[in-house]
Amino acid sequence: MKKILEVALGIVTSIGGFLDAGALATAIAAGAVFGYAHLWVFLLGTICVIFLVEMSGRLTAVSKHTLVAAIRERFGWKFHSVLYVANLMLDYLVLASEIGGVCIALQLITGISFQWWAFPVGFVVWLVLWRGNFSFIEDGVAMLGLVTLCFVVAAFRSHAPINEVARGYVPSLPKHNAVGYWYVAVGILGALISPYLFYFYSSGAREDEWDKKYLGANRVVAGMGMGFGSTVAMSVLIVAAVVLHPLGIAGDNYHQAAFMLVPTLGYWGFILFAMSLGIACMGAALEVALDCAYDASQTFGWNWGESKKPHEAARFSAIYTVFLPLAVLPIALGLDPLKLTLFSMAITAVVLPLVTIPFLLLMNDETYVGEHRNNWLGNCVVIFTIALSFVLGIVAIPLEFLGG
Amino acid sequence: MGFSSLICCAIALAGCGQKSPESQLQPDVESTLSWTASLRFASQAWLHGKVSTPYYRSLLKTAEPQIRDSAEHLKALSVATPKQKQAVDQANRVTHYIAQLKQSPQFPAQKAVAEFARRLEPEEAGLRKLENELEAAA
Repeated sequence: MKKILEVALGIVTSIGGFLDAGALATAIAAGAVFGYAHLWVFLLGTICVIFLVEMSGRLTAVSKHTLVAAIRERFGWKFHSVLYVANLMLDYLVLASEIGGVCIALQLITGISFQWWAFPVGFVVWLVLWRGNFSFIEDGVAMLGLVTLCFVVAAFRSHAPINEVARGYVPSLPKHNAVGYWYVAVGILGALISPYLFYFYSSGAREDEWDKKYLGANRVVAGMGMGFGSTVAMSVLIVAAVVLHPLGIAGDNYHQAAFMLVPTLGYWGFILFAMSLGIACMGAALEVALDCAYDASQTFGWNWGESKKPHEAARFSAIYTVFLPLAVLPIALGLDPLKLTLFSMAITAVVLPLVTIPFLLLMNDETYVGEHRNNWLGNCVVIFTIALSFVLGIVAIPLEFLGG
Repeated sequence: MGFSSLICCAIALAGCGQKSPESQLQPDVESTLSWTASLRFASQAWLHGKVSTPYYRSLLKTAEPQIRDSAEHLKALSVATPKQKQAVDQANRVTHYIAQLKQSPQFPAQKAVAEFARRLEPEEAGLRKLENELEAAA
């Protein structure tokens, strides 16, 4: 019974915690500009992230190593330091984007410009990390994240044409603006396959002291949690395609998307959009800030753990204490949070091979996972998706910038 | 030729290609249409009490410089076509309407916002028609 409750809680928190600034921004941009055409990218990214999240839980449950610790041990310090710098850079961009998302949500509600909220939001994130423990952050904030289910309700009530939605799940070439189409596709893959997600999941599994008995639960939580979570992101795309696309609204600024739930949910749609944006980004900001501290502590072999008091893991706590004000700066200086998010997600897609290939090698190494090695299907899905996002990324990103 | 060289060539070829006047106008026309449609939709939603006043004010504040930037960028393009003039004129009219609304007494008053939304309708339709023409030509 206890195990069933744990699995159910895991699924619920995965659904509540799935949506973040990246998934929200790319889903809005995709739906607003290209209608339903990117649904297949969401499907592909979701399948890949289910495999990766399941792998990170399996690695930790079997080897008792976090992903960072296993990579450092298996590939040596030199390679790991390159990977660490790449992860740190991605975490920085993603954390700034998430803080920006919370600030924009506050601007939508209060009308006070988002820059003014940057430091207060950064302080609240720090305070929750300083005072809270792992369960509070993992379960409490993700439970609040269930507010994002309003997008699923709106998608059902929007009467989107079923045949066009179904056609969106079939890979297709763009009819116009090919560079923009592939840039958004790369962004979606970067948003869904965020490295912080599986690093965080692996550290969380270690905090919860998973062992081999958790392998079944891990599979169910990764599959169902990520699967249902992705349904929320796809619903955002569908609502944007129904409401914004016919009007010619590009959705490249959160102000243009804030009313997308209004036609189906009225005034509450506006409030729920702001709440969803704020809570989803707050949850992700907490996870990314924690992930920075996990990465650094596991890289340098420091004492770590969010359930420990700050004085018991002083350097762990010092990392997020230093990192948060730095991540707040670009938002406080007025950088557009949504543009920063789309850029961060595209960069993530390009860096993915560096992060995932060593991970795949570990998952095929009997020293770490014994008889629980990857099968061919898992390896193929991940390699195909990562290779696709990398090639599309290095072609589409420069072209997008050359085209202004 | 290696894989990386092939990718670099593809990017260079695509980047150096000469853009038609229509393609040059398109991004700013799309942006102006996007903001105009957002303003019209949000104005009607505000009139029906479906979005908050702070948000509505914030939208106007955000949209105005964006549309003005698009107008200036359109004006600076070296494509002397009637479509360029039409796009600049429409963007300027929308910014003028926003300025007028912001200066109206007791902003945002119901009557002024209703008038603003009504004036945006033909601009939005005109920009949409222009965007379709540019897309067809590009």
